[in-house]
Formats: sequence, C-alpha cells, structure tokens
Amino acid sequence: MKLLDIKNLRVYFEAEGGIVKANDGVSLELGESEILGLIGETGCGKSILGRVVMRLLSEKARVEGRLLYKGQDLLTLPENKMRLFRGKEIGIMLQNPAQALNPVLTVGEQLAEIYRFHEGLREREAKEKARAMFKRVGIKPDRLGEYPHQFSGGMQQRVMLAIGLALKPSLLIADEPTKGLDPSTKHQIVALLSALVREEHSSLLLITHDLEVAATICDRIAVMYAGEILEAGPAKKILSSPGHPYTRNLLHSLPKYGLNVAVGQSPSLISPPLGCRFHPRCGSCLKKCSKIHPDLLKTGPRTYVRCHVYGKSGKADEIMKGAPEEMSEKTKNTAEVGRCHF
Amino acid sequence: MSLNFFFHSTNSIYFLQVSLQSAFLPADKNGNEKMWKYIVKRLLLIFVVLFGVTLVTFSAMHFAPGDPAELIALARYGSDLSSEQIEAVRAMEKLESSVCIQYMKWMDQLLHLDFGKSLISGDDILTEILIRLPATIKLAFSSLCISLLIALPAGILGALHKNTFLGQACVFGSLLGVSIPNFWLGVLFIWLFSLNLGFFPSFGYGGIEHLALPALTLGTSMAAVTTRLTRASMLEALNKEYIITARAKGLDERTVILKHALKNALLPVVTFSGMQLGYLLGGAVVVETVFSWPGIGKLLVDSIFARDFSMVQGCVIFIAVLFSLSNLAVDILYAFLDPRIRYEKHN
Ligand SMILES: Nc1ncnc2c1ncn2[C@@H]1O[C@H](COP(=O)(O)OP(=O)(O)O)[C@@H](O)[C@H]1O
Ligand SMILES: [Mg+2]
Repeated sequence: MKLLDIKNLRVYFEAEGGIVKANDGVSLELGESEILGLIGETGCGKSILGRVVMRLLSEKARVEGRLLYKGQDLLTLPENKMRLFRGKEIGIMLQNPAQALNPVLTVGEQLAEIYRFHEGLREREAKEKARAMFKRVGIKPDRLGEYPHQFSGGMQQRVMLAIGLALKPSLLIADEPTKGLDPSTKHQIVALLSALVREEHSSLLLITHDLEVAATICDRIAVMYAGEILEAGPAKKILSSPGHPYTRNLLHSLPKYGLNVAVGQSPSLISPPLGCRFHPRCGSCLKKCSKIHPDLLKTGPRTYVRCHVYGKSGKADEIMKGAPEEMSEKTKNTAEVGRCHF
Repeated sequence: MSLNFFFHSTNSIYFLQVSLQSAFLPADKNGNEKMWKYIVKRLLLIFVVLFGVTLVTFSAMHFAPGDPAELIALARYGSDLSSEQIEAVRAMEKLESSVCIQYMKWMDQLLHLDFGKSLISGDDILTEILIRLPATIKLAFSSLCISLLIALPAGILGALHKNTFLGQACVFGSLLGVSIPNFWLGVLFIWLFSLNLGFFPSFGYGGIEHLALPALTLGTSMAAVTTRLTRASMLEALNKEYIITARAKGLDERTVILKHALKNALLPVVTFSGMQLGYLLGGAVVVETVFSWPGIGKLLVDSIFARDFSMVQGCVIFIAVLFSLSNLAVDILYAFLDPRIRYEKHN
C-alpha cells in the first residue's frame, strides 16, 4: 500500500537570475513501513522535496502537482488541517541540527512542548515522556535541561531524532542525518534510525548524498538529479545493476571502486540542459539525448529509469563508434569535457 | 565647557568600552570562576575609563583660555571684579600650586568619594547629585517602560506584516520618531496635552501627573529606535532553521512566533534597552531641561550656565560611573539570558 505518492511535483522559486526549478516534475512513491533512500548531489533539490511534503516552504515557493498522503492530497489541505499532520503523521529531522534546534530553549523543552501541545499533557507528564524518548534515542535523561550547544554533533542528531519520532509518526523524513559525523558516530546514528523506524513500523524518507548509508538500511533507492528523479527501484537492484549512467557514476565514486568522481559540474536549476539533464556529463549518450527529454520509464515492478540508452547499451556502443564524423566543431569541446558523443 | 563636551565625553566612553570589551570577552565557557575573573577585569577597565574622564574634565577646565581664578570669581561675584577678589579666590581654591599637584589633590579627594564643593553655593557636590538621583531614576524607568510597551508590539507587528499597510505603518512611525528631536516633541506634547487639553502640568516635580509628559516624550522617542531593532531582529529570527523545526512539530503560529522567534529576537533588544537605561540614568539633559525636571541632567545644565565648574566635573564623573556600571550589568544580564554565553560547568 502506498503511504506517500508524489505525482509530477514542481517547486519553483523566483530568483534574480530567473526561475529556480528546484523540483521539476518529481514522481515518487513510498510504501508503508518502507525505507526509501533519496540520493543525489548537493543542490539537486532533495531538501526542498523533503520540506514540501510537510508544506514547510516559504510562501514565495510556487508548488504544483499532487502530494498524496494516505490517499489525501496534502497540497489542497487548508493550513489548520495541515498543521495536525505535522509532527503527528509526518515527522522531520532537518539538515544541520546545530541550526535546526532553538539555541535559547533547553532540548528537554523542545521535546516536551510537542507532548503538551498535541496530547494536552501537563508539564510533569510531558517531561516524563520526554525522558522516556531521550532514553530510546540513547541520551541520558538528565541532559534534558541542557542547551543544544552543549551537545556534540551526533548527540544533536539524536535530539532531532527524538523530536522527529516524538509522536510516532507514520512517516519520518530525515534530511542528511549523517552529514559531518565521524564514521563510528555515523554508523551508530544510522543503526539507531533504522532500528527505531522499524520498531514503530514507520516509513522513512532518508535524504542523503552518502550512497553507503543508503545501501545499509534502505529497501528502495531513488536517485535525484537537477530537480528530477532519474531512477528509482529496490535498493539491491539499483546497487548491483544500476539502470542509469548517473547512478553508475555515483557507484564508481564510492571509495571501494576507487573514488571516480563524475566529471563536470552540476547543472543550473534555472536553465537545465536541454534533452536529458545529465547528457553533458554522460559517458554513453546518444544523439537524441541532447534533444529529447527522456520520460521516466517503468522497467520492472516499482522500478523506473529516465534514460534513452537504457536497454540498448549494445547499440549505444555502435553509435558511439560511428559517431565522430557527425560531431560538429562546436560540440567537440563540450564532448571532450563531458565525454559525450553526438 | 559646553553641552557638546558632555555628549562627546559619554559617547567616547561608550566606544572605548565596547572596543575594550570585545578584546577581553572570555573565549571559553566553563566555570563560574571565569565569570568572576571577567567581572573583575571589567571593573578594572572601568577604573581606566574613569581615569580618562577625570583627565579630560580636569584639562578642559584648566587649559581653557583664561585664568581659572578669574573665571571662578566671575561666576561667584559677577562682572566687575577687583584684583583682590581674584587673588582671594586663587588662594581659597588653592589654584596657585602647579597643575599637576592640583590634579593629584583632586584625585585623592575623588578616591575618598569626596567630590568637593560647589563653587557657587558651597554645597557638597555628591549630596547635591544624590538629591537629584531619585527624580532621574523615576524618569528613566518610566520612560523605558513606555518605550518597551510601544516598541515590542510595534516591532513584532512590523516584522510579521512586513508587506502590508500595518507593517509599513510601524516602520513609518518609527522612522518619524527617530527623526523628531526630543526638545521639539517635548514642546509639542506641552502644547497639546498641557495647554490645549489640560491633561497634565507642563513642568515641575511631584506626582505621576508631572511625570507623564517627560516620560512620554522620552519613551516615545526611545521607542522609535527600539521598534526598528525589534523588527530587524524578529525578521532575522523568523528566517532561522529552528523556526521551520518549530512549525514541523505542528505548533500553532502563535507559539512559533511568541516562543521560538521572540525569545531569540529579544536578546539584542534587552542589551540595547539596558544601554538606554544606563544613558538615561545619567540624566536626560534635554527633556529634563524642557520640563524643568529636577534630575541630574537638569543639574548639569544649570551648573554649566552658572559656570559652576566643580559641579560640572562632579556630574560628568558621576554619570560616567553610572554608565559604565550599567553597561557591565547589561553584559552580565546578557550572559544569563543567552545560554551560549552563560558560564556554567559541564563536561
Ligand atoms: N528560497 C529559495 N529561493 C531560491 N532558490 C532556492 C531556495 N531554496 C532552495 N533553493 C535552490 O534550490 C536548489 C535545491 O536546494 P536543496 O533542496 O537544498 O538541495 P539539496 O539537494 O542539497 O538538499 C538549490 O540550488 C537552491 O539554491
Ligand atoms: Mg539538503
């Protein structure tokens, strides 16, 4: 059963250089009790997607599309109804806990206020629940009276987790929960996150640019690039036989494959490349890749790829061999940078 | 010596303090011991500042053109002076010894909390100042209250409705308040509330009806700046990530604004108000004069016009002490309000 079904979601910002298309036609689904990893480079629109699900973007953001949560479109919900969903149905751990926690309130208060507000508990009972929650995420309950700056990065992340899971939401969104942590802390946080989410039978949207983290706990993985989904499917399949050249690129950038970082720069979200957005950096692109924008193709059960080359890799090699004479002077330079053949 | 001198001296004390302060702010945050060390350091600094103030006031009097004995005699006996009168003053005020010795003697007195006697009336200066202090304190606190009562709601509204008429009105009002000089506003209030409407007496000292107009004048003009500050720091706080976290918890907008944003936004406002209070405790020169409010500011102005140099010196030093101490108090208060600066033991 689908818990969250995002259909053709667009989030546009008016900026100085033009319209920033932070999410440009995102379609994504998340089942019940499922952990979905959303991976992609910095700036591709992951955090925006996480926030728009809870309608936490500023009023300046133009949002279109459908955001079905348990069958109900969150985008058409009035604000006072939407507020009841926040925290209770959907919890979020924002990126950078040092900034996402209020510096002048104790961490205990930042957690206990949730219980007072949503469950109408009194001071003492709310504190008691906060202590219990702290224990669950591995913080000594006597640190309830401390302030965020007194916690280390990993501990702040645990506070965020306690806040996100306080009301046992059906969906938790975790935005880069391992960013800036040392490897052992990182593993602890990831283990804790997946353990608690599984315990509650909640779903998790794990936003990260760390493929290894996604590989450890995710059931499914979605790959985002320049505001759109390039590939989505079961984690095992994506990691063992990626369908999209970009995903292959990401895998090759892992330390165990020798840190082969993708060439080229992430594209602009104001004027993304025509055709396939990845084509200027793609090692196996066809002539039509620079002209026609590929659709998200269903290639298996709950598996999608947005690529013209998919399923014709043999042909692609042929075309690449025969291609050079078709190259114009103008495209030669870009071809070198992007290893692209027209 | 003029009014101008007074303003310049207090201003430079402030800037000196701020620059010294930032150099001495403790870098790490553990232990009450650190806090005490910091306070002692600041108190020592205040002595340095006060030493500077005595030097400046003393020089201003003794190196001003003219013979100090003659100036004093002029102030005391009027314009036609005999040379005997001048020499008598010189002997009485011990002006014949060298400037250095005079300064050292004066400093010795000051360190024993002896501010000397008024050149005109012969009254004890410190006693005179302390008699005026309650009036100044009353005016200072009531105008601060009025200022905050106006500035906090106006600043918050201005930040929340920044693109609407209401928000623009708050900005415009505070801009107007900043541009209107105190003496003009005071006279306007006298004309309106006292002469035309007859609500309050226009001058004098006594009950709350006398306090109303001077406090309103000072309070509204202070509110103008505080409103702008409140609005700016509220806008800044509302843009922070923790506001999004607060909304993500499903809290209502009132809690998000009045608890999560305001608590952060108030930090600079508290500091600023504390500084304003320190400034007011030194006597609001203009407003006290306009309303004949018998505070320290009025005493200072009267002494200047009467050429009572020793009284002026005494006032300036007293004001400098109050200002420095209240600034220190504000810093300590800030440390207690902001947990990030608070000095507490933890591991
Ligand atoms: N309020 C905004 N106005 C304009 N552009 C924005 C705004 N918020 C985010 N963006 C842009 O949207 C893009 C996606 O941001 P984000 O979702 O934070 O990326 P990431 O994948 O690293 O989380 C970025 O290029 C950013 O510059
Ligand atoms: Mg992000």
